[in-house]
Amino acid sequence: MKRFYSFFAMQCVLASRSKIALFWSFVYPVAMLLLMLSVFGNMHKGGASDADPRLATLTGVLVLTIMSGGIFALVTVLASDLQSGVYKRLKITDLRPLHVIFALMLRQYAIIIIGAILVLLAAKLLFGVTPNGNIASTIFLTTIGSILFCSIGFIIVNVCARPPAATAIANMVFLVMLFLSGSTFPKTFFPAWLTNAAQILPASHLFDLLQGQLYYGESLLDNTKSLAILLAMCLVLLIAAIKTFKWK
Amino acid sequence: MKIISVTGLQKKYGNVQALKGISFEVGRGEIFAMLGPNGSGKTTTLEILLGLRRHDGGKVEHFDAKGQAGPMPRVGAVFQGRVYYESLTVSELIKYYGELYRAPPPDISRYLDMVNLKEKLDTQYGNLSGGQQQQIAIILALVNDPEVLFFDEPSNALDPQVRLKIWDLIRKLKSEGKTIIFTTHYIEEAEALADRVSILSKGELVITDSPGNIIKKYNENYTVEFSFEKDAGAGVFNRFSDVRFRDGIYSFSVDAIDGDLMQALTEISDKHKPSRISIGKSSLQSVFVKITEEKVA
Repeated sequence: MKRFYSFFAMQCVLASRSKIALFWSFVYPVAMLLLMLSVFGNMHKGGASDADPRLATLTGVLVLTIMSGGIFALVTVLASDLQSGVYKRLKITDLRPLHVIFALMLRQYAIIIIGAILVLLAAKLLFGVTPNGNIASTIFLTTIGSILFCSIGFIIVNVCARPPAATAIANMVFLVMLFLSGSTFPKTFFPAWLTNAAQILPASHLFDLLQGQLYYGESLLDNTKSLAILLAMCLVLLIAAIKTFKWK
Repeated sequence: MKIISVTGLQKKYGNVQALKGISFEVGRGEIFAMLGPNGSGKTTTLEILLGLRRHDGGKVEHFDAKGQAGPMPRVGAVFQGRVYYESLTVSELIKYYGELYRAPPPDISRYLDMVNLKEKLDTQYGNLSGGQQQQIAIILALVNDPEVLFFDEPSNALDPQVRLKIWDLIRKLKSEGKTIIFTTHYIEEAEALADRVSILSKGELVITDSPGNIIKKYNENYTVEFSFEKDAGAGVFNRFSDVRFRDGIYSFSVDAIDGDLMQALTEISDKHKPSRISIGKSSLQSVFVKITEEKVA
């Protein structure tokens, strides 16, 4: 475990010194919240009449925060390190792939949690928006989402022959999930076929579950289908991330 | 006693055969150089020995101090490029990389003293000069007390003073019993440091021996070089064998400087008015050029 903790500590120090990482992890989500609450603040995304409509926007920004930390930030950092040869040097240490995968996931999880807290605080302090639901369930969904999107990030880096290609594909995957999951545009705007097609995206299920929590104040068990799909996707993608890991 | 044995090593990148079945052994405690031009297969060989690349044929064996075949020994390596996180300080790199090994890290402060970089402990790696980064990279290769050190072009693009410092550090490591394998395209580096040198050309290992023996084997006592302001063509030298042409200079080797040679050189000089003629003792450089350059006559 010493090797895991040292690698994790090293990664945390690196993240804390990266102005770009700090911007995309903390400033960008809060800025998006401000922008989206200003633009979409009064739209009834979920169609519920008695809930604060801004909670739907807050849910979307939380999903964006989790996806950004899991896919976009992870792939950007990993691709850059792979290109510079950092992992060639790390491979000849006694570090193992599982140490690398879980240390980076844990780092991204910590970043995502801090980013999510900043978003919730900004919503509360600047707009007086207080989410419904159970905090433990919200943390659970954030944890599952972080593992799932980090796994997607790892898979993209692992299967791409060249790091710049990984960054481009990560951008594409991120944007597709951002726009089709309901995080930015209400799904009610979509044609039926697109709504159905978007259900193959893990971000759609995460958004539905978080919206159930934060907007409708539901229990996790009120949406067991999405929960089961999300957990199954998380497990499959995590295994794929581990199996496809390459030091390059 | 050997520590690494390489037999018939082959590697292919797509349709390109990067290594064509090379074989050599490295002795415990020796400095072994792989010398060759760019694209000759040096770095590929080194990365295969480090376990960073798979090979397509042949085998790599490791031996313990009793000569028994066994697992890969503890290794350290210095790579080309930026392989360390640049926003970490030198002391953080030493601490974190030391902790990435199972065994507790040894005290490596004496090496920092040796290269006078102790005052840089709190400096971020990216803020060091290229020479300082390379010296720290060598020290970081020692955090697991390796038995074998691999250096890929250790003094590439460094100024002469830093290069000499790095050579001293490498000699110090050898004196401590470490085995050192390095690649280089600097002939003088191989000649100055290595106990034995392998010369690689286009994925083939041409010769492996001590620098002195390589020169003897190629029987190159003297090297004659000609350059012209207006190229006279290789035909000028048709009475000599194995004439090479590189960077505007024709060169060939002779066993001795005698009357016949001087007569021939005078005739060429009178007829073609070369801008420069030199006759010098052969070195590993002339052998290297002979082996790796295309013949023109």
